[in-house]
Amino acid sequence: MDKSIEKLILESFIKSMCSVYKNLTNKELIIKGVEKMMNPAFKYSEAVTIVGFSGMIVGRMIVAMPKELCAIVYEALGAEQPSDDDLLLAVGEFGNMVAGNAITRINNHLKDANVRLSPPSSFLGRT
Amino acid sequence: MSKKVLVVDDSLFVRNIVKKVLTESGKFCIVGEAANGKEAVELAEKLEPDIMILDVTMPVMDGLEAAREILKKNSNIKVLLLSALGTEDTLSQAQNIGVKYSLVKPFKPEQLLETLEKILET
Amino acid sequence: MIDELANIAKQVLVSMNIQVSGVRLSKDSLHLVNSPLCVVIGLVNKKGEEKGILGFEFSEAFAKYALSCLMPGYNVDMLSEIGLSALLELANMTCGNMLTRISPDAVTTPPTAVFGKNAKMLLNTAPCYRMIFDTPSSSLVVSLSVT
Repeated sequence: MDKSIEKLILESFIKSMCSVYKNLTNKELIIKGVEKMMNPAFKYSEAVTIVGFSGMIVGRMIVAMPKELCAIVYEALGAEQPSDDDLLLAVGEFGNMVAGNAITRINNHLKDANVRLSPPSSFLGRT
Repeated sequence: MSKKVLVVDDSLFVRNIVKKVLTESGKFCIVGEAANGKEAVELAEKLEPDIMILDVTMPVMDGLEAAREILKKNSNIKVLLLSALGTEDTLSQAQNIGVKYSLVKPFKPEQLLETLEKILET
Repeated sequence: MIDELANIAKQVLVSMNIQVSGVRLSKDSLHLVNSPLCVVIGLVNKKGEEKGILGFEFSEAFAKYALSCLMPGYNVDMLSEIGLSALLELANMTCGNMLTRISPDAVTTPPTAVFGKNAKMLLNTAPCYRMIFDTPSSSLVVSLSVT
């Protein structure tokens, strides 16, 4: 893949994450660093959302976050005291917003990219 | 003399099955393997296989793009495309870049060997 | 259409030497999964009008049986690199064959394998159709939800 497109994709997702997080919580998200994963497998014990995308670029976005953060997102969406099922919905919705925002940036930059999202899937507990 | 084969698929399972079938036939020698199209292009240049077995859907560079690059540099290499999607779109794209043979997964070992025999006869 | 999809999936399983004694269909209001291992494949059509999720729900018993069919003679753990690769490929081939026959305009997003013994998995908030393939050892569930 062209390095400039790779850079665009990475920046789009990072900017979208920061933007959606700030819109929901009114707080800044601090990016500690960006690391390339050599091993595609990873373990996480809290909340995870996966959003696939296809078009000129094909891939998936995975967001892994603590349950407490899911609860903040859930409450920012207008409700209180989420159950586990509510947290599942919240993390999925968060992923959908971030991925949607990122893909819009990419499609705006690259005409004819026509990147589309599949629905978000969410997971809670030890994965 | 055994024909040199380069096996390219992002699935370790598929690469292992293909290698096993070809090796057991006694007619082919696996000279290398790759998990994406970019590695495939690099290895094709280095190893000059007689045949490349290329999966279509792969990360970094897909099989169609890889086949295009490889055939541009060396049109003597024979290419067999593998795909889980047997759509007309994929098949016609393959034909456009000069790849006449493809197999839809899943395939039987006999199908793989018969198709490779046909490719070698051309 | 679900009947046809189930038939196509069954053909793929049988061609991989997995014996299918019967197929059952069911429908749920949400695409929730109750298996320790799930392969998730996103579906989008080229115009972006329809999208969905295809889920392959593996119990430990079915995964063990499937791996014995896919790699006979080898004792492969479902969470080993080769074991996961084989199960992912099984899901990938089944999905590909289903899509080719039913919806050539659809494209898939890369399959993801998720493992969690006590994890809650919500693949989609849309209603889902379940195709349950009964085999000599447990069942494979292939579930589809479309928004």
